[in-house]
Amino acid sequence: MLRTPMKLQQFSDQDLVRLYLNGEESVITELLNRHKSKIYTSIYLLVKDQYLAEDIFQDTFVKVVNTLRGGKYNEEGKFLPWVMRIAHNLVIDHFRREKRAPVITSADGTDILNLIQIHEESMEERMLREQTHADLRAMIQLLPDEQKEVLIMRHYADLSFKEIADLTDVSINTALGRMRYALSNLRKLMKVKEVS
Amino acid sequence: MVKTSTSTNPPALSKAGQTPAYRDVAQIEDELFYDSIKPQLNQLIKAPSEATIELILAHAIRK
Repeated sequence: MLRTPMKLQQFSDQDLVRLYLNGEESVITELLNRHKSKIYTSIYLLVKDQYLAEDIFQDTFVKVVNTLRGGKYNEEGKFLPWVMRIAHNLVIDHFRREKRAPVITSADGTDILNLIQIHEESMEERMLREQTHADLRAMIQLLPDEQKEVLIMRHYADLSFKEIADLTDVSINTALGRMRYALSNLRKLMKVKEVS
Repeated sequence: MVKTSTSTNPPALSKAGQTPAYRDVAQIEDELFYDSIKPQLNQLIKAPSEATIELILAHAIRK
């Protein structure tokens, strides 16, 4: 049965997964569109490279599809935290292969920051906007890894602290504490920037 | 150079001698700060390219 995109939006993630497993494979488009920005942004802020983030994002969803087809999806869990766990593990695998800690980069290309397409924007305004984005991204990258991870998963992946705690194998209190320290450190960094 | 910090005692846990009022004010300040930077954080949101989406869908949807 063909379902219009409007109706698909009314289905829960679990319902869409069940439909997909029952052969209505086109519904994966709705699942993908629903969560792509959260997952991709989280990956991108962790790996800081657009093309690498695209690869890991693609690998994540290939794994998602393969796991669904293999009948190994646990219906009791929520879809987004499960996908984020897959993405998180792939990011960790990447860093292990690279055997390096994330480094701050500033040469990502202006197309990455062009989220807001202001066609009449002056060059000065564009430079200021891009600099602001770059500054905030750089500040996030300065955070200790565990704090950055919690901030990204909380804000961009929209995971609960319990889900973050489960994914990173810490207690909820630890996850909460890391978030508070992340915010506290961001505040310090922003104050330093204002003074400078 | 700005030093960032991680304590072994997260502020969410109570400390000996720390009054509940102090912890609440700090928590409120953190929440207000987070609210103030959310718009900036949201401006960093990105989506993957259409090409990547197409590759995923090609794998996920069998003809």
